[in-house]
Amino acid sequence: MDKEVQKCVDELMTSAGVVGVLCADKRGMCLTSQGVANPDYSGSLTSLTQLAATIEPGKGDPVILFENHGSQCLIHQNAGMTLAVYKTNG
Amino acid sequence: MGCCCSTDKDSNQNGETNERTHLLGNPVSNNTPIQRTPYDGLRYPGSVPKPTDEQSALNKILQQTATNVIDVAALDSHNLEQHEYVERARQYIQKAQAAQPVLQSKYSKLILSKNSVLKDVPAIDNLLIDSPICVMDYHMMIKNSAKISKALNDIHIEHKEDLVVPFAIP
Repeated sequence: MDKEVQKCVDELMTSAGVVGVLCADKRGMCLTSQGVANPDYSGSLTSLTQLAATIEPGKGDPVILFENHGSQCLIHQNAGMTLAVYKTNG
Repeated sequence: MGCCCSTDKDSNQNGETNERTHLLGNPVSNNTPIQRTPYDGLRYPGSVPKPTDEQSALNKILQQTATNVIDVAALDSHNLEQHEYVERARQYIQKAQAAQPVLQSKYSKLILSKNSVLKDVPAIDNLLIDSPICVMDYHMMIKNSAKISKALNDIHIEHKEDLVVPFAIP
C-alpha cells in the first residue's frame, strides 16, 4: 500500500547531500524515517510547522530551515503531512 | 496641529464646581505667578517697558518648542570615517563583553548542559547577511512534500478476498 511513499522517500535519500528523511502525519505520528532522522521527534517537527504557519496566516505553509556549520534541516508541511529533510553541506 | 475639543467658556455662570472648573485659575492671565528676574531692581527709568505676561508666556513656549524640535531635513548625513567605525565597533564589543558574564549567570537556566542551543555567536552580522534558504532546496522541499503527500492520499485497500466466508456446515 505504501510502496509509492517509500519510493519517494528512497528517491529523496539518494539526492545530493541528503542524510535523513522523516515523514509525519498531521497528528505527529511518524510515518517513515530514514537515515539520521530520529522518529521520536516527529511530534515536535509537526508542532513546529503548525506554529510557523501562524506567523503569516493566509500565505501558505512556510519552509523551516535549521542551520548550523555543517548541516541543515528543512521542514515543510503539505496537506497535513510534515516532511523533514536532513542535509549536510558539501 | 488642530483643536480636538472645545467648550463654551461662559456656560457655567453659577459658580458651582463641575469637571470644567479650573483648579488653578485661568492659566494665561493676571493670575500667573510673577517671576522675579534678578535684574528687576536694576531697571532704569525710561528703559523698555516690561512685556506683558502673555507675551512672555508665548515667548517661553516658542523657546521650548524651538529647543525640542528636531529638524529632520536639515540633519547632516552621518559619514563615519573608517577608523571611527572601527573604534566604535571595538568600544561596543568591549561593553558587550563586559556585560556577558552577568547575562550568562542570569540566563544560565536556559542553557542546557551539553548541546546548548542558546549560545552567543560572535560574528553575527555575517550570519544574518547570508541568504535565508537556497532556492534549490526550497523548490526541492515543495516538490517532494507535494509528491509524498499525494502518494499518501493514494494509499487504499486492495480488495483481494472476502473477509467473511461461510463455512460449509452440513
